Amino acid sequence: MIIKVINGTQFNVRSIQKMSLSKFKELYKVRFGENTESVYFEITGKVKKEKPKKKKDKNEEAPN
Amino acid sequence: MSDKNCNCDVISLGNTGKPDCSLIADIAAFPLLDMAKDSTGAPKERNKTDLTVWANLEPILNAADPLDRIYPIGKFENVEHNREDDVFWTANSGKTAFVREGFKTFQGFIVNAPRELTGKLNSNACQSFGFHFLDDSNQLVTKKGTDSTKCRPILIDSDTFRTKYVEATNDAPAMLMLSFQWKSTEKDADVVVVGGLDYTGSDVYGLLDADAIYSNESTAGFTATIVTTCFGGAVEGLTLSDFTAAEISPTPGAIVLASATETSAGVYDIVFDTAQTSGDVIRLSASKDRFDFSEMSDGTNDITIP
Repeated sequence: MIIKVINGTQFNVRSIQKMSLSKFKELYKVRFGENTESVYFEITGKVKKEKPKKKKDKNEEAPN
Repeated sequence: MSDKNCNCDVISLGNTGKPDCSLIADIAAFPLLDMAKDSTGAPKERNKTDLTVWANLEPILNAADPLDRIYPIGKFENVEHNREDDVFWTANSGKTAFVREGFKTFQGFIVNAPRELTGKLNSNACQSFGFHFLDDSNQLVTKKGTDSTKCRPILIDSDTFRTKYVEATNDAPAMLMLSFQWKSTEKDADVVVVGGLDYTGSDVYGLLDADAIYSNESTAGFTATIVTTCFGGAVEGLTLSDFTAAEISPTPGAIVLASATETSAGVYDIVFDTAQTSGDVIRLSASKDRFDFSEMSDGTNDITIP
């Protein structure tokens, strides 16, 4: 078993790697608060996918 | 025991040569209790090196099977370990004839021992067991085995095994007194002394019984408060890999644990890898040197998922 300890919690790395981020948040939000996401990515080694910024279509701009 | 085991096949006396140097037992200091039979039901026989080398002995102190375990009691003081006088019959003419050997009795005191140990030791009285001991010269004193590399526990007459708590006085600290007799079949001539131990009596330890109280049970996990049952102290420092969990019903099988957090001394928040179903019965087990968690997983306090 590969164990990673973060703020006193010992995680089973394989188990967390199989867990979705939303499930992880549900289980550990109380313990880690706003750091929950970063804890998840630290344990799993996964890279957080940045959502591509929506480019504003010039044609959609409101007429003056 | 009469000990009239005369060897009638030999028509001469036994030879009486002695080696120039032999190990002589010192005062008994650290008794090591050992069951008379092993987990297969055979009379207990150990390799001497299992008891003289720490790397071999420590796994035996922590053996999962109680029948294979060694149970050290502690350091004894004021030990008296003697055989009573032999019993002779005296004829009217004044001639005497040997009847039987005197019984051999051990009596000693552990200074400042917890009184809970009295109950633990007295509950041994219905078992079949024996002992080895470490003496004050840090030698192992044990009984001969089937060959020179083996040894066996010196058997104890369990009817005589008794501890008594001696309260403190103005002149003496509180003590635990232990006394017992050797089984009448055990002979002084069968006892051997082994030197060269790579540990001392103060290194050996007995296990503490531990049990858990559960709270905050949910489909996601639970909280286990783990304490020693006799003394009530928190069992701290358990790691996730020290725990195992299993579903007992309705579908028996192992349960993977996702995490464990010691939120305060001996209090562990355990989270399941996958959510369990309401009504499932879960059993938690643990393993760590110096503790016996068998009460935790004996089926008397399983977790029922609400």
